[in-house]
Amino acid sequence: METGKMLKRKNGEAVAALMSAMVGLLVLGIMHLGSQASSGFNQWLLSVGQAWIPNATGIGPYSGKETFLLIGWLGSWAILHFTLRRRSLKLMIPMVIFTAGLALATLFVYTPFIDFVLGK
Amino acid sequence: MKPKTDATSTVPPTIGDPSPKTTIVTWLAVTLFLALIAAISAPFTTFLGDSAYAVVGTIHGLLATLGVLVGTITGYLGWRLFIGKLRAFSDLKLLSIVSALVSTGTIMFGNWIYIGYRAAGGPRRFFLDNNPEIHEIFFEFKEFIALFTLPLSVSVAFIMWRYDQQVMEERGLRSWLGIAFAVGWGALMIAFLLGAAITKLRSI
Repeated sequence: METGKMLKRKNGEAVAALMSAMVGLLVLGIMHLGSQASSGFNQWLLSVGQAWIPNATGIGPYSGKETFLLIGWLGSWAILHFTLRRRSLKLMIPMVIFTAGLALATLFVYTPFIDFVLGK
Repeated sequence: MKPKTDATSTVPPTIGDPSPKTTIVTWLAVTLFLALIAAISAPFTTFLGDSAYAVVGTIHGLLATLGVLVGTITGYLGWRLFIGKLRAFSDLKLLSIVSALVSTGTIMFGNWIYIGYRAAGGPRRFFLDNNPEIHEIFFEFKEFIALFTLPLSVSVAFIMWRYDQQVMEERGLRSWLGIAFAVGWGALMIAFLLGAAITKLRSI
């Protein structure tokens, strides 16, 4: 009888949780970059926010960017959770991707970098 | 009759010492009494100003300040976790949930007050007319970097509760969580400081 021996949970769920946070923030950054590149896309982001956020007009296209942050984050979390929950992974590569993704997401919401990318 | 003793204490009990319960109740009673006097006599509403967003802005600011307090303690405990020397694991578990809740509340009220920021004649218009970099670089960065705290704090809280003590045993997971705690704290501090600086220049 195995008493006192704790059953170890596989780390796939943890990988899914952290990677999805990075995916959501990267999607946010890409949406913001897109909004700066195209006024039509910016307008479309506003219409997405207006579809469900109260007073979305007041906060403009930011509402659509928040919407895509939530979709990217929670959507990828659900997918990754059910894909990885029974797996144990080496964490080095996912951790590097996570860190690089967050760094990119940060740059994508930093106006001087956006201006550089878009050649403004 | 022998006095009751705490089995873990090495200090002998002294008759007449106040118990922790008595101390806390007394302290609470005195604090509430002073707070009541202050609430009745001090004109706190003058701090809020006459803006339509006065109350919303105050709640946003108070939540952000609470976030800095909670986030800084959480960040420190996250560092202890990262180096494998965390003793207060249950404290970090609890604070990870509190951080996620405070982040959610601050962002919700931040969204609300953002309407006032963007309104005709609001701070956004003022900055674009007088010093566009304030809005285009600093405020834009602030409004997005603040959002970083939400998915990071929720994901970290999920892992802390789902894996519990197992987190302490897995070095790779500890390191990764340490990075997430650090990034979350950094994002929180940038958002808070930029918010405070911008409010100082032009408030709603």
